[in-house]
Amino acid sequence: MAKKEFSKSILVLLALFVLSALLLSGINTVTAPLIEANGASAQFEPLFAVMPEAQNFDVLYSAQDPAASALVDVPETVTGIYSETSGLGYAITLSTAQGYTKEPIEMTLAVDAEGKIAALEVTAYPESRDVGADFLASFQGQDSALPDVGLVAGTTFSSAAIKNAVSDGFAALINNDMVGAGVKSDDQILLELLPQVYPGIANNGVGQYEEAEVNAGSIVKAFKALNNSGFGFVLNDGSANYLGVWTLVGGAKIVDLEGNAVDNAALLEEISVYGAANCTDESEKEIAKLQRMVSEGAEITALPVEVYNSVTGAYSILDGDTQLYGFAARSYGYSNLPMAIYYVLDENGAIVTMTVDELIFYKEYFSDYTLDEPSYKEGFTGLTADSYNGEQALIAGATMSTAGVDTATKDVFAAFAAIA
Amino acid sequence: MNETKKSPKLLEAIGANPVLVLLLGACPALALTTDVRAALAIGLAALAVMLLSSLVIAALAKLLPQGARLAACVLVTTAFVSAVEMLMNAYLPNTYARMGIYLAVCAVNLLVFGAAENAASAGFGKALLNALVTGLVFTLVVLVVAAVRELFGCGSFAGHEIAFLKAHTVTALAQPTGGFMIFAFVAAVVNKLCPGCCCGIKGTAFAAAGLTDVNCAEKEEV
Amino acid sequence: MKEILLLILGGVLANNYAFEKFLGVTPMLGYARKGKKLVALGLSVTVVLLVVAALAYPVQNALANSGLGYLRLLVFAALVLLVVYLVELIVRAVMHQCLGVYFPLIALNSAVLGLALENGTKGYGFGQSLAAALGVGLGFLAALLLMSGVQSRIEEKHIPAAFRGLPISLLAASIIAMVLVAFK
Repeated sequence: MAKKEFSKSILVLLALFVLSALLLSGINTVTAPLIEANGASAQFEPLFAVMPEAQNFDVLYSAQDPAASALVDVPETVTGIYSETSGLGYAITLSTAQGYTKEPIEMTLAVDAEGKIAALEVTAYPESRDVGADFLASFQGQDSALPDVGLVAGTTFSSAAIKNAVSDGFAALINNDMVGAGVKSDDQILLELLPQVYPGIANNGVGQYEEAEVNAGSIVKAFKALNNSGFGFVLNDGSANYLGVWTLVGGAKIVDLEGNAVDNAALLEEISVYGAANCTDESEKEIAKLQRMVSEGAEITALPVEVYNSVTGAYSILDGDTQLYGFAARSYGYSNLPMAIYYVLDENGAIVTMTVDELIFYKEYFSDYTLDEPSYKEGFTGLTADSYNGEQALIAGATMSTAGVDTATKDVFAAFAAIA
Repeated sequence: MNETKKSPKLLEAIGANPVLVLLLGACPALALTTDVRAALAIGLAALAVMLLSSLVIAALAKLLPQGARLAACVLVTTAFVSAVEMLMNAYLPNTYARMGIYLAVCAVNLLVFGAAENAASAGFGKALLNALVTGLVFTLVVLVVAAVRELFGCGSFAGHEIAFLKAHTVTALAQPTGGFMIFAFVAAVVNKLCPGCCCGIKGTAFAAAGLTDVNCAEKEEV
Repeated sequence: MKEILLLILGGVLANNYAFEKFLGVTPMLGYARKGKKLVALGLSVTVVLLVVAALAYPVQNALANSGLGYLRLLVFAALVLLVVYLVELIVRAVMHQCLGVYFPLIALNSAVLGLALENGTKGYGFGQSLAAALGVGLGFLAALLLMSGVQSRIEEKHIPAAFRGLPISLLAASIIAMVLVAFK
């Protein structure tokens, strides 16, 4: 191209570019606000899905910018709170990572102005097992007490996660006086206290028990721990309801609706009698196992210890001149099955030896399983409550099983400390 | 050759050859024809852009040096495509969402560009007519292709499900494979009705795509 | 590293712009040229893609940060034109011929603009953008070679008159598209 033509071309092209840019800027000033408004209303689509008669929503709270909201005490699982503009109630978006896979389960909850659930929809569900439409339907019409929502067998973690998230949604509303709190029955309150008072009956906060209607004396209901560590009880002495806990290893306590310990000898007697009568006595088996872990002539005697964890037996061992302590713990491993783990500690609380009856259940599922069990167990020798930090037990790839070992180890140290 | 005498010269002159239109507008024609609404939108959008850019380019024709023609056409076309994009996003957000990236890419679409480029050499009136006809033919063709693909590939029409068809969908039609296939059949049909239609087309866009080699009955028919 | 390789491979197979996204489809349907010219075209497009991707990355961020996001398409189109012009200049200067490639055609290739836009939409980092560009370029070259290979092997005699030329190429493309779905 000739030079003159070249510069002319450049000029023309530049002019065209600038003019085009100006045209586009002009159009942008008109369209940009509209585009933003469109984006905002798209955000409300899941809310209209749970509240079809809704007119529009005001954003009361957004997890992306909590400081901008006037609401307080909003739990972490709540990602957004919206108020329906014509007074129909509130829509809450929730996200919980407490399910089985620990990936977020996302839900939208609609609560009407009276504080009852109008609808609950799950918008993202990464678990492999479905909680089922019946479970979700059971939330309909309930208030914050959620009395009739039971957990679904086979998906306890996920259904518990969903239930807790819905509770959190209610908590956010109640903390800000937006709806009234539902009333929980005493039974419900006591049952919710149980895993806190008696950790040994629960796995990851979810109770693992067999329920029985007793209705004898003050014992209304008995809950037998699936790992045979003891019992929980709903008690009624004629005037009030209490929670009772009795553990095979030697614990017994009564707790009221607020969770405060109550000194009631009569009730304690009752639950101890029931517990002793209905619990399977494993002490012979435990002693035999411990005997094999120490010298042949060692003397093993039972030692009552007041703990409420997975420890099912505590023993004093006299091995020649040495004082040792033996413990049996039945924490939960893979697939919520109780494991059988045994420890021998010396008089200073350091582990001398430990063994596990079956570390990995369903071995056929672990095709890459390369854990050297003997050296894993030896790794516990010498550990004390101070030097144990969990890392010695947990192995990636066998998380549930080794988490069970971790729980048992911590519980055993606690039991040792409880020896007078 | 007797065959070429049959080819409708008028259609050629105003760029109304459907096969050519489909070939040059292949990108959106294949990508956006799984939904009749998307096809209608892209057809009308392309028509609008073609008309507007032909107007501007024809008006500026005298000022444009030869070497800068391609760049100028691209810039003008892009400006209008961008404008259409923004307006669609603001006023028809659902439709805009269906466009994906294909509306933007129309900025360098050979069909749209061809109309603009034509405007630089042809007269004002001729350029507008060309743009109008090409745009309408394009819209019509993509609508037909979209109707076939959506009805038989997805069992719906413009998003409305048709129960009988939904139960018997040929999912391949809704995928890239199907796009090519339907395109092939349309081209074959047009070829049958109007043999040698796409021979002898001039202009940067057409020649540049190597189309003089395509489908010409230059060899002896056996 | 693995991610980069996946992006490149993806551009050639699962995400082949020509067969799966219909970007840059017209050249492969129209061309029936010799292998050398096709390779030259494919490589030139790849080079242009890489340069455009490299430049588009900072430009995109600059536009987004200064609130001029709506100018993205226009600026990218201008960028592509510039890059094509410069690459043609350099190639002419170095090789003293244009390799039989009509460079301005590359500016009109939807794959180039399409890639620049997709890299921005997907939020790729600099390295990822380049990897994607390389993948798309190689995919384009593969498409060209595949189609021209198929077209050259088709015996026109055995095909019904209505299907000769464009329709049969399209059917071939349709089969290739079906095969590529397996790589997704």
